[in-house]
Amino acid sequence: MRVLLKLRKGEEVKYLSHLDMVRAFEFALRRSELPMAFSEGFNPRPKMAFCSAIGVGVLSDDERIMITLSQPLAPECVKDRLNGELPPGMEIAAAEEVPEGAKSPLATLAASEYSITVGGPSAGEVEEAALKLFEEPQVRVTRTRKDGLKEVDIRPHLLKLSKVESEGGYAVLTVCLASGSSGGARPQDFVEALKKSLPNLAVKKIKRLKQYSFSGQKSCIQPD
Amino acid sequence: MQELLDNILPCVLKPARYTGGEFGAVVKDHSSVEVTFALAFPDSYEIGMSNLGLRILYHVLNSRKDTAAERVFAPWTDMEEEMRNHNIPLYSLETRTPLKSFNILGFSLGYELSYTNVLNMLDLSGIPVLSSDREDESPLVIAGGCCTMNPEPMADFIDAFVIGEGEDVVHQIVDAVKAHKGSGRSALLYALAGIPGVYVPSLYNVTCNPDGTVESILPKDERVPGTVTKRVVWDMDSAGYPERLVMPFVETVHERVPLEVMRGCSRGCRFCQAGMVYRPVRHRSCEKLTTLADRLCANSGYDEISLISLSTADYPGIEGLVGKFVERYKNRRIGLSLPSIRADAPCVELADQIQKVRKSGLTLAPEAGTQRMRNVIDKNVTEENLFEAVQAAVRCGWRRIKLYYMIGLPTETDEDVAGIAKLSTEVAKIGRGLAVGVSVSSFVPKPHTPFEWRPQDSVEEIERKQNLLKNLQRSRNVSLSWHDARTSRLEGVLSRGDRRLGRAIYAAWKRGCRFDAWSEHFRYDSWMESIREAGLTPEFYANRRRDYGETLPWDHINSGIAKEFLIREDKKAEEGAVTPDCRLGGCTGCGIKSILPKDSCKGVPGIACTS
Repeated sequence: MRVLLKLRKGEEVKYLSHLDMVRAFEFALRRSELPMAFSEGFNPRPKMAFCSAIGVGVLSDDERIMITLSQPLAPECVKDRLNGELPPGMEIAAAEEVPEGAKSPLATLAASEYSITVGGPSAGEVEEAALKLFEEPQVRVTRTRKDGLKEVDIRPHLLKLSKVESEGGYAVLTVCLASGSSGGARPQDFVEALKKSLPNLAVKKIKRLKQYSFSGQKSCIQPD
Repeated sequence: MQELLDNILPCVLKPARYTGGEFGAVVKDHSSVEVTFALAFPDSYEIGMSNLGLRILYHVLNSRKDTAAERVFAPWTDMEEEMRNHNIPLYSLETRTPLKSFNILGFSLGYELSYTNVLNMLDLSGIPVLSSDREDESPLVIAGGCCTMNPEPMADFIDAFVIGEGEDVVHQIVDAVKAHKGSGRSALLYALAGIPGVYVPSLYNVTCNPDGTVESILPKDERVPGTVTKRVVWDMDSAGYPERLVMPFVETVHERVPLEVMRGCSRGCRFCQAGMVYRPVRHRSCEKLTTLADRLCANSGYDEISLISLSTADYPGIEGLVGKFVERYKNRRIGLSLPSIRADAPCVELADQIQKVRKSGLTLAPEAGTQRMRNVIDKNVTEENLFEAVQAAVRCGWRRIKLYYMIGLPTETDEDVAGIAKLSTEVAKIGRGLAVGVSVSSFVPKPHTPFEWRPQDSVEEIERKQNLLKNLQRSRNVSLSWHDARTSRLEGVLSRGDRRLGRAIYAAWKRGCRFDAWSEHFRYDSWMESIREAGLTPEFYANRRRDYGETLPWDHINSGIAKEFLIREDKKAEEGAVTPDCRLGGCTGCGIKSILPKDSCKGVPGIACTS
């Protein structure tokens, strides 16, 4: 039986890397003594899969993990048992059974909505700069890779700017970016692109609010 | 604090090392306790979080209602820079309390090359680095761990040392701090000096002879004992041991449940400090170990239990214990491991029973390349034992063998060095395609061992021997690795140093030395300049043959091992004569009886495990 979990990554654990999160979750899974299915081979591991990584320092309300159990169990029970074993700041917000034979719900994840809180320029200036990015044919940012710096165009991954609000002297953008296995843009890329026209912009907080799956047309983003 | 940290944590490597909040961490309200105790480990989080001593003390101290114990590690150099730039003092992970606000700051001293990190952590905390500069409101700075068997080099920086095992004495220290709140530093230090196993260096006068050797180490007055005898925990079953662990947020060096099955070793290898100073041998009962293992596995989530001790195969009834554990945990998919095993066939077969599926690598420690050399160090492994062990390993399916050796041992000749290459090549021939990794470290004479008087080989001599080995090593299946001779040299200076060396440690830290155990940060030249600047020479400490009659800097520290025994062993080494393990060949007169509660080691029962 497969169970899809929605995990919250809060302030207390925001500096954990993706790998650290996976480790912390796996230890919790073992402590919970849930009837896990194990992989085959010399070094059996509990069957679990994580959605695409978010960066160090990024919060999330919607990390997805799929685990496979060796015997059926109510998803609510899975949720409760895990929540008793997770470190403060990590919390299973929801659990649901994945229907038999259905494609992995992680494989179809394709976009994420982020809330990005920035300081420096006014909300109006930030909104103007952000909207301008959506009008550009190309938005190039540099990424650091193992083999040096690489310039990439993130414009195809900028999906939607929902709103820009002013909150306690900061500007809060809500933006939807393509993510997932077929590539995408990270919220930090979006911030870097904004900084080209707003050099005094400083990030205060980034949070993944929600993940979406594509269904059909690329422009059509359907909430799960 | 959170806001300050939010400014710097995004800029440093592995920031989860500095946040706290791990599963299993104990967070107490400081207003509800009487004593706050910061357990400081002078190396990185990844190293320190695997340290058993720290885990035991964290448990023992937090079991007290009146005490909050919290952890702190040495910030990596990038974090240190950010902290200094932003004026963030070093803080504890549990409550992010600046170390300066704790009642007690206790350092773990397990390796001489972490000494500069102690100074740096004090400085980052805003606590005076020198003990003599501390005032009543400064935390009490204490230290424990195997390096305190010669506390003198760190005497300028530490208010009180714990000699020996800490589980019991730490309670007395906390009680003393509690009782002396507000009564001044001097009163507290005198109270501490009255606790058996506590050494307060500032209450002793050290005088030197004209040649630089120690003339005397004498207490300043009659309230202070002339010698400090190490503390020993007699009953391992009732000794404090954690039943839950703080689960590190980042991957550490040992990702497994540490189960200490036994303490001490009676084999008597003459180079081994731990083997001397952790006597007598004591074990936990099979029942106790089973209870601990069950709870630790359930509370941690680790999938491996490591049966640790100095020589786990010597645990009485080890086959029974291993058999019981393999059976008990196989369905829970929890594996077992032994940290190192004796080089003989029965031990390899034992390891095989443990690692039924995963044949990672097998580590054996012949320590020396010729029988003559092994006799000198009293390592009772023969060539035949080793070959049989490797044959057993090959039969059991291992494809990779790691062999540990030392060079620079007392009386070593080039023939002994060449023996390492020869023996390793022979080992590689035992199995087709067998890969043999040879790791060669350089011998460092340690206090309280039969070799405490011996000169260490010079850097040049070690490098010459390393080259000799390199040139002899031709087999394709054997790969050779060794330790930096300069690192061992510094370890040699610090481990047998005296109180004057504190000036050199201070100067080295001022020159920027820290994380000396990490090759990327090791600055040998700065160290040598610092030693010379202090008016000292490294040769005096490391490369000089000391006279049996010389007062050694650690002579006032009683490890329980008699000097006469050490001298006898050193003389036997010279002749190449061996001393059998006292459990097999009868009492060797090591002297440990003198500090036992009973007058015989036999009073500590061996516990056979049958399941």
